[in-house]
Amino acid sequence: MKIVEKCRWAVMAQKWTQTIRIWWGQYTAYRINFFLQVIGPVLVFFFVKFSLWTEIYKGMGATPENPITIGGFTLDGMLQYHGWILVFSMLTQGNANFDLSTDIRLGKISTYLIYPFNFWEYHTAGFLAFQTLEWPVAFFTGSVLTIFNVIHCPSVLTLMGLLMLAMFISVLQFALQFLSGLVAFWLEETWVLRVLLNITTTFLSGAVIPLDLFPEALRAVLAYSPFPYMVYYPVKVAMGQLSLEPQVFLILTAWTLVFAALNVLVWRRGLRLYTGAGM
Amino acid sequence: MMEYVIESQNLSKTFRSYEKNPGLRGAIRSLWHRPYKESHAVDDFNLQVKSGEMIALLGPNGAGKTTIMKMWTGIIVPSSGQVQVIGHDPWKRDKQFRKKIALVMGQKSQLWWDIPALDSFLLLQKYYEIPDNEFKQRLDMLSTILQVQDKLKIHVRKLSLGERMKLELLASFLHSPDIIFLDEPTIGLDLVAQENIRNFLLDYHRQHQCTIVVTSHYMADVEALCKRLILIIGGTKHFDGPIEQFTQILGKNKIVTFNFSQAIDHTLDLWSDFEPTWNEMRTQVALRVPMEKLKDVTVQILNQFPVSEFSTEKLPIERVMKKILENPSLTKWGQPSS
Amino acid sequence: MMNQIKIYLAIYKKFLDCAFSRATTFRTSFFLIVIMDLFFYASVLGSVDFIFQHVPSIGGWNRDQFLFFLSFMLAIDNLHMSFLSENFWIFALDLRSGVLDYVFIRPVSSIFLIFFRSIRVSTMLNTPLVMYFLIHFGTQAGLHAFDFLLLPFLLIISLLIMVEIEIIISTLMFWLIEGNGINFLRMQLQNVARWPDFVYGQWAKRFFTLFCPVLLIGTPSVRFIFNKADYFPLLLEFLAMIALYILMTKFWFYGLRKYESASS
Repeated sequence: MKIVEKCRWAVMAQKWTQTIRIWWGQYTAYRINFFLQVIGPVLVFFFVKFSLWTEIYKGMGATPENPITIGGFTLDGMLQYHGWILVFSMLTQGNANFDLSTDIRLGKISTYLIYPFNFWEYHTAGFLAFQTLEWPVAFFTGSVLTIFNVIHCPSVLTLMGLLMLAMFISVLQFALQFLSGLVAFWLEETWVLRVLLNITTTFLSGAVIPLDLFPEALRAVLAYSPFPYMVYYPVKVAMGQLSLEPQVFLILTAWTLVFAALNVLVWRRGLRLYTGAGM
Repeated sequence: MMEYVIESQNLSKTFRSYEKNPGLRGAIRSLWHRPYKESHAVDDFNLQVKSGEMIALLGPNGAGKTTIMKMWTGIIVPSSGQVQVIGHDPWKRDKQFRKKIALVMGQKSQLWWDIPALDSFLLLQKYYEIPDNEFKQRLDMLSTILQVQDKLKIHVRKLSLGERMKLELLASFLHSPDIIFLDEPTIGLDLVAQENIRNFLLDYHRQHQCTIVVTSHYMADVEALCKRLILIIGGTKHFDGPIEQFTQILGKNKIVTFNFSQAIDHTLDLWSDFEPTWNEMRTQVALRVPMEKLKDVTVQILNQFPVSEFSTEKLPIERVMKKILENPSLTKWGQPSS
Repeated sequence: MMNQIKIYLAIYKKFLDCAFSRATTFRTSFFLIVIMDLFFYASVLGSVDFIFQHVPSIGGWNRDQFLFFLSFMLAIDNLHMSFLSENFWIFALDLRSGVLDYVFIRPVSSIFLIFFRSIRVSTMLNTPLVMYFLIHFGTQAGLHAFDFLLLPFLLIISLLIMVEIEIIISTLMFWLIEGNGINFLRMQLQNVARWPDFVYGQWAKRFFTLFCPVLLIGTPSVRFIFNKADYFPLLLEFLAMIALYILMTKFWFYGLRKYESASS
């Protein structure tokens, strides 16, 4: 009985590994594309913010001898904030372009209904494959930023905690993006929902400007949403301005479970519609 | 009026395809080292086509027929050689040139997917600057012949493949082109739809005497439509001439089919000269018999074996094609072996 | 010449007809796009507004001036999204599938057929809102009637430069085949252009003004509106529009020659 169990796990592991390999192949088939779609946007985002804040502080007359603060940030602090956002985006953004909606619209779901490896497994393997490609890039970027003194390396313990936090955040992001893709059962153009989600998350998580600069009322409302925990909170921990609280993991897990449950619900309804309409 | 509407000399096209080893290692290695293969899709192709001819480019997948057609229509630029179509260099894409040609690709649609076909036609009217009354006249005529009058206002994506194909043809004929290029026009269609398309093309050609170039790997298309056949294998021309001559490449042979009232010994030496094709029960055999031996062989078998039925027919083109693909030197460039 | 213009106008009218026909077919997407745009405007204007709660000026521009500039860029974005944007994405797909073959045999400019074909009607619903932002922040920033009269022309010139740059970049797809990365590059350049040139360091500013002139898209026009003596960048913008047009047509010609067409 035990041997049979071991064999079953071995077979499962093989399926997952092979699927992840296929995803690697797909992601790296067009190298320039991978760079432009995945890495380029976050780099440009950082570049624009770096330029903007440098100009703002310069305009205010900030010098190393006379550091001005805006919203509690010095120029160094602000650049550090955005530097950490760059690293965190690479760790957590997920494959923002993965379009499981194409699978739905083109009727490829039928294949997954027949395969002994189902739809969510296939796309989760895709998520894992993507993360394994992104993490080395994030580490490299983090190292470069540290060398140029934009960010400062936190303690090993904090770093481990942050990496774990990054994993939780990326799973939450994946659940959100998966949900936005599933509406393809009803919508022709799902990219709209994904972009909408992206704009909202980017703005409300403090990735554009720190939440410290937001009006107090808005910050109070946001505390009840998962957004601050997706960017603002981990970056502040990395900067040593906030401590890593265990309950954050619980909050992220709770939100992930909420969206995962929604995913299951939407998938079931969508599948009923899909198979009802015929393959 | 020029004699030849298509003149190709030493026409060649080479494509580069990059290789990549599978797996992550291969993917990472490919970041700095990308070996490539060059494939000669078309190699030193010569052809002249007269005005009003209807010719077929025949060949297996990857033979280069579509690539040739795309060079003739100016879609892709030749790697080397010369080509003139209706007196123009196709790849220069002169407006006057583009007004005189039409292209239909069986595997790709030119109609816009989520609007009715009529909207697509009205757009094409604007592109080709067709005057209103002429447009209306041609639309009525073509839609009547193709029996699609009631399909014009339906969204294209809601139509069947056969109906869509008819509308594709309609779209291409609206501007009365001098040359029409059809790339696998009947692919994926059922037999009735295929026959409808062929009949339409034959009638149209008879009435308008335009030049039609068809590529296909359906023999039925070729046999029904074209008197002149150009066989292309591996990007080179292997045959150019009348279809009758093509079938005689393997000599003047006939297929003779015998049905027997009992199982026959298929191992006898007698059968081996005639490429026998037996059924499972060994009660039926199809033989390839040269014309001059037909009478003797038939009589011999009728005398020796309990034949319940027999029939003869011309060697089908499929068989000729299959033989040539197995052994391209059979053609010896247009000289039938006897 | 007049005949040609008439023909192209007639074709464009048909494109509009088809766009309206499509818009009424996909109604949910229609409204979602409107909402998406609204969220986008809110996040752009909101971010800068929040910054101005803490700083009095950026690069010599006060809050109203900066928000007017952003409104100008959002207006260009609105026009771009309505009349052009979708075509760049479709181009990437069509290039891969081989459907472009038909475009290249039509007796009409392929650039026109490819980049002007698809029109997004839903985004036009937000045009009044964007115009309102322009007028509101323009008035707050002290614009006169003459400045408002100039606005449409300046918007068109800026839009044309943006389109020319984007078509030049998109032409690279003929060599790269897998085109979506190029579309993301385009969007990143739009992000860079969305901020005035003075926020960038001198090397970045030089690069994005002279080499990849996305900073000529909005800043020269707005700077001229605020200060009529500052006309040199606007002159540069006008010259760039002409130079880019020539470059675009030449580069497109080479792209067409490179086109290999998906096999059947």
